[in-house]
Amino acid sequence: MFDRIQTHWQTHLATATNRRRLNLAVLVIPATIWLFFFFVLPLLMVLLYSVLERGIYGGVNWQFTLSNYQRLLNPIYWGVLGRSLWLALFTTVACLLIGYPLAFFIASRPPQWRNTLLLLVIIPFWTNFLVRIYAWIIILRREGVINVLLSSLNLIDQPLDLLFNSFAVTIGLVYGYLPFMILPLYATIERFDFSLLDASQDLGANDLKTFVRIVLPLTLRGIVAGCLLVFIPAVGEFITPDILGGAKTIMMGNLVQNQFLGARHWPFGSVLSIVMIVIVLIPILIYFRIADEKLKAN
Amino acid sequence: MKLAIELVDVVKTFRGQNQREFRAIEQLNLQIRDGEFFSLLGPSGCGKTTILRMIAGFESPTAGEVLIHGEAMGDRPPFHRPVNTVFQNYALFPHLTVAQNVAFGLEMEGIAQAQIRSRVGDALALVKLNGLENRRPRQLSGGQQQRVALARALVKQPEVLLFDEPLGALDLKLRKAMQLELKAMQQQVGITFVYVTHDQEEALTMSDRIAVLSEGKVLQVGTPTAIYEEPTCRFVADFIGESNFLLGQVIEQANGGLVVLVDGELTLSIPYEPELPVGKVITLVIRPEKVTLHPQTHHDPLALQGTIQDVVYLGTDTRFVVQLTSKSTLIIRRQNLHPGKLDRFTVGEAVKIRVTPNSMRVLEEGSLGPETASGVLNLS
Repeated sequence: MFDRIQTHWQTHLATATNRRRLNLAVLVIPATIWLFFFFVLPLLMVLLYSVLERGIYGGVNWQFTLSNYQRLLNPIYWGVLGRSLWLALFTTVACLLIGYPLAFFIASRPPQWRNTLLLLVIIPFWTNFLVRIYAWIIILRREGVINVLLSSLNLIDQPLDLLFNSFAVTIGLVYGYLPFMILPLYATIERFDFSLLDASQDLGANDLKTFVRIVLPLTLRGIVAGCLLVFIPAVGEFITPDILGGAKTIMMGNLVQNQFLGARHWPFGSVLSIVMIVIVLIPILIYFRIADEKLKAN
Repeated sequence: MKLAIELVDVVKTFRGQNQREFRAIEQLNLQIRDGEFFSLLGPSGCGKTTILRMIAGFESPTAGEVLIHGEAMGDRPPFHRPVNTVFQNYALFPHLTVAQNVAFGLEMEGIAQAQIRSRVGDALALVKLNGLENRRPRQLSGGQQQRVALARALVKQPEVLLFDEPLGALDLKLRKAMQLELKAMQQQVGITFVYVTHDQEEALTMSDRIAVLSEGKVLQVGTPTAIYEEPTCRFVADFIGESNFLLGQVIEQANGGLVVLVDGELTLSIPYEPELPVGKVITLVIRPEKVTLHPQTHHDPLALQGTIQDVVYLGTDTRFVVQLTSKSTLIIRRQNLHPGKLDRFTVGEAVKIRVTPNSMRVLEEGSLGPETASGVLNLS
């Protein structure tokens, strides 16, 4: 009798565990399928194409080769890569310098104002990105808003060349990615306990020391998140340099786009894509390393 | 007497929403002596925290002057003032360990690391937190966090230590223990403590002197005994402990006392120095524990008549609510020294109430507030 109860109980337990496993599987399957078809598979395809020979009219010939990687040694590509990194880095720093005070300003307003101000940050997203970038052409071109204004004030004799150069690209990048910096910063700063400022000052720290010792470490998470969110897409940008840089300021993204759509050299396009993935992975890995160490420290 | 802090004609106005000006502090004069435990006591919104923040330098007075050890502070920022604060929510730095939190203020002074280490050790020993140096604030209990905040301020060896309701978040038992500990610590380190609280019991327990505040004004400054036994106005009498208020009318003034018709019923001679005109209506304050209850049969010509309305047993004592002939009510507390005789008085019973003239305090305020204003008319 007792044995039977026990067996029954064990079966019951076993089925319960099985059911939980089944539930878990059902829940995980959609995400797994999604990730497999839209992340793992394309990534594998890119990896595969990068070691195959170029097809004459696009596509690939199923012939193994490493020549596509050898082509990377050409200094021309190093130049483009360097410029991409430099522009993305500059954009990130500029966004941080503009975004941090702005996020701080918004987060320290009375609560009823904060949402309105945040809305103002987000509103540009309601317009298509292309349209907004074209708007900068109207502002920056030789007969554009800035030049007309400056010459009507007699500050310049002839119009400035503001468009179709690195300057225009940088403006476009900073403009386009600023909200990605502000939002994570705001989320962090909004949770910041402002009474810590009083405590720090009370203990003898002036404004600068308070910022360096208290505010900065406690908002570091938002800074890192914002920088990643700006840097990663900025490295791969191809629309902004295309439109605002003319054909003169080429970035990695343009190169990838050209190889696939212009030169129809899929394997080399794949190689460039892999280079970009590696570049983007480096800061992410550093971020995770830091986060890990922080976890361990606590 | 050396003064630690002096506030001279201090006014503080805030601009609220829709730009309306709000007067938080009105023409405040306050002197805090060197080495005393001074409490600012009042209900929330009375301006006590604003006063503390003006001493610390987080707010600057709209008019008037704050002096610390005789030196006018002007607009001097908090980091240049010889005071430190223990904040209401502790405001510990969450990313720093306990030791780092305590060391922060010393590092800002540019003190050598070795010396910092020994002073941090001493401060943590003083608040009994040895062994927790490497914890983070969120790994500590509320009471421990409170001690870190205390150590962080004490380690700076300030001339004045400011407390903004530091015990508010602790449970009752811990709060009581911390009160005594704080008081002992203050006597040990010998620095001036300025302590903001809304808890009258806390203020009475710890303070050398108390300032009672209401609506931005100081109503009375004095020792706990003076504040409790000799309140100078109705608000103080009401806010500190429990008080009964009875109306009286001056019948005669004779050899250092007043002959007063109390509650329209009883004529008593009450000691009172200042001259008052005959016929003036005054308020008499009497503490519930200073009134005694007697059965109706008790023969006493100096007693008021009343009926018991409510009896509440409180453990150490019993609280009676008695209605007088004039319909005003009186609260009476009676220590439970002889529990057997407790139920001698029951609700509805007619009793005699004995008030000793010496335990009554005269306030020259002629009404019990708007709701009982008609009581004044009954007397004449």
